[in-house]
Amino acid sequence: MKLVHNLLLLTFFTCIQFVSSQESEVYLFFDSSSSETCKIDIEGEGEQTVFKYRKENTKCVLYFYICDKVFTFLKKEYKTEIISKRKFKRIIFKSSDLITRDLVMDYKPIIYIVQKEGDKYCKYRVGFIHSFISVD
Amino acid sequence: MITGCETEINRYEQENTNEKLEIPIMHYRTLKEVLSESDPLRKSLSKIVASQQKNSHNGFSIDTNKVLEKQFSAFTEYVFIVNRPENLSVRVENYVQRVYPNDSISQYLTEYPIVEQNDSVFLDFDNIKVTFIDEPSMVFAKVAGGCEPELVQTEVCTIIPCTGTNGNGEPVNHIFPGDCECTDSPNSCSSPYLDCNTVLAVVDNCDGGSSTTNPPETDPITPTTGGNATGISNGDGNELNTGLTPNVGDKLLPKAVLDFIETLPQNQKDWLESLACNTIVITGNSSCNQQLHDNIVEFLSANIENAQVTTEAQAFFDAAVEELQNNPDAEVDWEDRIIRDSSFTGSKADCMYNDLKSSNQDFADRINKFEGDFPVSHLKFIADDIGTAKGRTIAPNNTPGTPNSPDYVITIIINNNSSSSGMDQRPNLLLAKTIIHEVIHAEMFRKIMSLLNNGSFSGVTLQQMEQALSNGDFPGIHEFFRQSQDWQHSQMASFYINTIAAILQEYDTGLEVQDESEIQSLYKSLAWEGLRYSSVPAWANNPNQSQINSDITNYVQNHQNETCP
Repeated sequence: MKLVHNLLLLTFFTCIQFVSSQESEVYLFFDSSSSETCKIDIEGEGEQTVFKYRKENTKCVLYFYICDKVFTFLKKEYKTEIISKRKFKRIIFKSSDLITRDLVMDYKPIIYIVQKEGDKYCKYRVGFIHSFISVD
Repeated sequence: MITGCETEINRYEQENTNEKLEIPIMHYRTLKEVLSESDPLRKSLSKIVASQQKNSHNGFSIDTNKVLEKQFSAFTEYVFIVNRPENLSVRVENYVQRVYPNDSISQYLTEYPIVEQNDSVFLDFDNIKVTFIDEPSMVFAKVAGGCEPELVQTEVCTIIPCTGTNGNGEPVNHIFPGDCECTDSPNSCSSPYLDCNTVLAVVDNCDGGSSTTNPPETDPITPTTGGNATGISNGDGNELNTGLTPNVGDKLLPKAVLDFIETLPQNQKDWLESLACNTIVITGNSSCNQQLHDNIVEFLSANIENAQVTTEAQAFFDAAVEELQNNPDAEVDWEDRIIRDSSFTGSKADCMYNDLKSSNQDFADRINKFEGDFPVSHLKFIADDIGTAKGRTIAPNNTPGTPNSPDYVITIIINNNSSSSGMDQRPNLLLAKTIIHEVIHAEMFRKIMSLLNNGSFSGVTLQQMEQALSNGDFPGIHEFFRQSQDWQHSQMASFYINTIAAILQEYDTGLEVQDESEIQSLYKSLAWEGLRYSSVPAWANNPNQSQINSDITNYVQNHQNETCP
């Protein structure tokens, strides 16, 4: 009986491990109303103090900047999802500091950015831009 | 009187021992007769005839007054004389429809070069060309089953009886071989003779038998060609047709290419087929582009390894065809293997790119590294709105949520928005710099791909990357990769400033830079644009930052909105 119990436990932990390393979803909160700032390295201008959360909207791509990290939302490929406040409150958000080239290359997490727009909570499926995706 | 014919008979019997060839029963028919007897042919030909009447027929028309019917045991062929708009009279051409008992039809063209010699005209049977219609590239492989098909020939002779009457005024008895029983004056009686025509057939050597007997179920397009036709005299008493110059491709494609084409999705197969101008267009306007078709086929043929089209070539084919299908104005250089999206072609950046490539050897060499001799990856240029960035290079990847680039294809985007970063607002020299800068990024990606032996960065883990770089031939990249997240800019700033500056100076002055000492400071300053990051050691430690910044700012202010010269 104890052996069966241990086997079940082992199976359970194996599943948890699989989800966290292979199919994990990471949620980032994009607080566009925040006045928080950070210093970033701007080409030709050196280190500059800028708002932590910035957006750039082009024809096909919506760029989310969180300090020096760049996340892209492809307008043609994904739809913005509106989520309820209840669901929003249940989301466990991570710090964008956790998102690095190394982590993304090894674990390939699915990244979502959630932004409060007016009284709505919008969820975007985004990609993290690193030096093995694209460079300017 | 029949001595000559005895020779003919001997040759006839000798040729008939050729087991590869079945001698058909041949006779001329009128089109009306033919159409009344063959439903599938009627359906097929009526479209062609109708399209000819509308004058929308592509390439050639057929003479419907005279049809040569050739009855083989396994099928019947109908041979038409081909007419072309250009009357160059150097070839005879026939259009052949083959009808199988199951009503399936195959069709092909045969060309017979005309040779003039000693005031006589001959058909050159040694250089006959056969071109298949509909799916020309698939025929030989299927017929041959991997073996080379063989063109064989023999002669078919018809006894032409003597004419004239005997002493009783009755037609002469025909004795052949032998003299006619002419009892009238010799002038009223002709000798019998054999009218011999050459018959040719493409046969499959794999089974050692004739393809004319058992065509494969799945391949109803095994051709046999008839060398006889009517029209001009060949000087031997036979008549030749007056077909005109054809405009068809006739190459035997490698089996690997044929196999590749066969596995293509139907839409790609249809598209490729539509490019071939030797396909008869039944209705509507032709969108054929024989040059493009030939370029693609040559590209595939030149990229075969282990009897297969290489994975890299297949990937480039996919990317290029997708581009051409979506954007007919796009341009694909199949030789150099560079795709220029329709957004890019004709743009200021396109103009600059072409100028750079044609005028600067160093830049051309860098581009050449993406060509066939270095088959690791290829380039695709597009113009798009990329916000404040001036240019962007996207590695081959299909990572969800990020801008992607097809396997083995590195995409370079040049900004075309209306901001100061957009190409039209940028100084020419700095736009040239952006193109060079992005091509160097692409070259760095290419080098890593060569180590990874992978067409995409998507599935690559950090460990694989580290392992490939540590074992590879690019220790510089490895070092920068380990030290910096922005390893590309760091390496470019350390090792490529003079390269970029020299290309810019040569482009701007038209004078070759022989030595780095000749590079003027302005061009070195301009080369720094895009690399001036605090995290880039070569920039952070550069004592001339102020001068460089000033040079770039002034140059931008004084050369805005330039057009490509």
